[in-house]
Amino acid sequence: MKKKVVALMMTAVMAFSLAACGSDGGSSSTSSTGSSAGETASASSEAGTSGTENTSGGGEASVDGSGDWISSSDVEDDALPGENDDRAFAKFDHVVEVHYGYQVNPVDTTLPDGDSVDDNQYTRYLLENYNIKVVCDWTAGNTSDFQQKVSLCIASASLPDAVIAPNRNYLVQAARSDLLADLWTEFNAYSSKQVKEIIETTEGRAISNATVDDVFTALPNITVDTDGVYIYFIRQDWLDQLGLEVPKTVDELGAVAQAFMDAGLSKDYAIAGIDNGGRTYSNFLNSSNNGYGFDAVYQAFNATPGYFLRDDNGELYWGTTTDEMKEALTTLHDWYAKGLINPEVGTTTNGDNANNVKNGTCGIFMGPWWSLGYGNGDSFKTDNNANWQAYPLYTNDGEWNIHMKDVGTTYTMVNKNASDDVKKAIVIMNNVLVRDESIFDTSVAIDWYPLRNVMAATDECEYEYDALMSVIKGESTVEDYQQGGSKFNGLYKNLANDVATMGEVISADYDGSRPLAVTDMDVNTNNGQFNRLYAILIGDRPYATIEPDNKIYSELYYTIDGMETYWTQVSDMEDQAILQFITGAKSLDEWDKFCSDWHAQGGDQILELVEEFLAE
Amino acid sequence: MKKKKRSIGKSNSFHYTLMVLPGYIWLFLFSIVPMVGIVMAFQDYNPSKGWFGSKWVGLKWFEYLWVIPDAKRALWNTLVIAVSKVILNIIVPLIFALLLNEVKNMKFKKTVQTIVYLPHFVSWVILANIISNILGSNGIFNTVRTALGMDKLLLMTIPETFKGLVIGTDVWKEFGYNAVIYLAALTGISPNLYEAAAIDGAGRWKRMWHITLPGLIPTVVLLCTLAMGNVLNAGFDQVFNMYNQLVMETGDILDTYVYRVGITNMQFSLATAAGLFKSVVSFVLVVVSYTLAYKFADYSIF
Repeated sequence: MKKKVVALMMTAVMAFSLAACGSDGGSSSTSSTGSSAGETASASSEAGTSGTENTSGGGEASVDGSGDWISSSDVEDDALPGENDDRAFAKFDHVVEVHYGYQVNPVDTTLPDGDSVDDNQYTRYLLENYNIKVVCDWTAGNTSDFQQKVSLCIASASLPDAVIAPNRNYLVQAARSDLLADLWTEFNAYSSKQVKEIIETTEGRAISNATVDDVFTALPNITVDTDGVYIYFIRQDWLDQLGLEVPKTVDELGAVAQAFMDAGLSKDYAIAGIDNGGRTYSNFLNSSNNGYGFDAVYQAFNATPGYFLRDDNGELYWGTTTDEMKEALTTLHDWYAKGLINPEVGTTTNGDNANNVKNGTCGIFMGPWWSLGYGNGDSFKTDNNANWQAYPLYTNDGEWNIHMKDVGTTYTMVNKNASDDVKKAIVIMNNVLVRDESIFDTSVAIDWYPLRNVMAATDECEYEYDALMSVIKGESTVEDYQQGGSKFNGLYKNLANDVATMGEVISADYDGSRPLAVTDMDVNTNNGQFNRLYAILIGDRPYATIEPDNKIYSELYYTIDGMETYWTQVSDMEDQAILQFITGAKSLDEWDKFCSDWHAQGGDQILELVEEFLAE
Repeated sequence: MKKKKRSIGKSNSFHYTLMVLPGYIWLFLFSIVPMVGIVMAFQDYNPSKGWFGSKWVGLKWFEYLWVIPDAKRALWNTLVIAVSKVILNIIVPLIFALLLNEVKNMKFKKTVQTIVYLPHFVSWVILANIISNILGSNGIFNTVRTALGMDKLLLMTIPETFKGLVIGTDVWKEFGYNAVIYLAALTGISPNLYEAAAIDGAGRWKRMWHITLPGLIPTVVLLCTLAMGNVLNAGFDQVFNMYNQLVMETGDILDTYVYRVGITNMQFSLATAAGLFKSVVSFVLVVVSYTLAYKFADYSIF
């Protein structure tokens, strides 16, 4: 009986949340009626006549009905950061309401008291400067809850004006369900020069990813390539204390981890792992940003799990079910059995997997560049001298394999019932974020920016690394990188600010002749910039300075028609089995059985479908 | 006179009907209306086309469910966990109630009853976190083990013990609450019977065996019959908050499977099919157990 009551209550809660999802459909339609004047204005400008908003210059020719991409070189220069112009940074003459659903960080401490998800410095900035008022209809506290909300909104056809699709599957599902607006006209017409330049660096991949059945349905996110490059992080101060060399191979890393344990530096475990619900490697669907995964180890065994690959004969195969993968898992299991890896890998919750990294008792973990600084900021607050450094992990042949990610993973979807003003507002919000992120006070986490859609040139981090180092070494000056300076480049949106504030973080004594260490930096004065510069100058140093030997791409980065059901089955099985092989819950003697099960339970059908799809 | 009486009776019953009306409306809105969604199990459901526009695929999803090992595994786990819970949730509270009934110190009796009653009111979301903290590598359980010179044991990650953990914690949480109904039934047994038995020379044990237990049989049968409907309800909120990928093999139940497939992976039709399958089996079990109870114990609920 009690269970029944619980079930009923859950139904009620679900119905309530659906109703909450549903209500914004209504309110967005009221806001669109309220702004019909604005709609007419943009409609007329689409027809080619200049609307009231586009009276200046030749820029409004950009509102082009033909649908061809207007290249960045054909649009006017953007207004300076913080200022308005008439196109990409236009201020609406009336308030435009944008309803959205958003994922928030429940343990964030950066938001001042009294501020909220839709009332904070970023949302007020948008309201004051652009007349864009954001209204958050619902929030979710973690990725899986957020995915659940998005998926319920799709199932019940009640998306808010805009919401972020966690990966392309959600985008396709929503588009096929005929829930999404065609964003092409607005995106093409109102994107800033900077955004267009970034889009162009992907050579069409970003746009084709956001296009479902020939309709451009979402703002793609474009992240730096290095988000998918996995390296390992280690406490250099501990290595120095024990007189150890920097490990290059997996075996050396294991030996160092053992040494950390033996010396009592790591009392619980030496290598941190993933939380419950995480994956130990990033796959083709979520090909980047897998913090605390063991990707670096797999790569060092020449294994690329979770990717569609081709062998020397051109035959398509699945990266997980290979002998190299078995070898990698044998080593990881060995580490686990020795107690080097967190014994609770895959079972901790709410970010507890990172606790020992933060409190300074775990000296090794893996992830992409931002895992240092942005990712483990608390480590440095706990211990100002925790000298974390980043290194690549090589194969036994001394090669560095890296795993290349998709252009981006998430997409900002817009409801088909959204008014043209709302669509335009969403494009403008994106322009503003890209241009003004560098002038925001990021001590309030930038995640609070509504509908934050990351857009960055794919080589932004490496470019910044080189630029910052050249200033440190005295080869160029701070002024060179400021607006109007000889080396200013709008594509690298944060560079000017990073160069200018570098002095607050990095000691003037540091001259670049040896690798930067935490002792050369000031953790507390400007903690936001400390985290960023730590990530770029130390976290991204390997990728910025070392040429990888092999760059491995997946043949496909999203699921295709007919594949979903099989994928649900085999991916569920795979995620469980891999973790069990590592912890020993499943013996590696069962590896062959796992591989044949994977193929039998839908893997073969998937490979066939992908092969057919790629052949077209 | 007769006529008048009748009309009073009528208005009386109307009055009562009015009182249950909100309940009926609620039941209709939340239990009957959503049943339309069952059609999704026979369709290739597409949210934009809705329940009436999506393509019919017949029993495709049920056939698919039948071949995927995960669904069978989930069904098996559900059965084992739910049946054990049903049995233990009847026996343990019964024993507890009988023991408590023998306690003569009222203060002690009430205190114990209140304490064991409390966990029932804590949600699984909170309790699962408390349990995983207790059993975690730095929790009380492992601290004690280490102090005693034993190796750490991470109960939450061992597939073999996970079912036991789920069942045990659920029984622990609910037995105090479930005992209430027995305690109520116990007060309904006439003290005359005990007195008479005592005069005839029956000891405590004999009295319990020959008076208390037979007096509780109808309650036990009632609870058994009601519990049959829950044979495939292994407790979503509990398992969902406690399980992880390492114990999926033994911990994944139909409800969590439906959640993962339907909500996380957006296979709405497949998830509906699994949910419908579960409901049909539960329905059959309720009907069977009701018939049996009526035939053998001459007990009817409805």
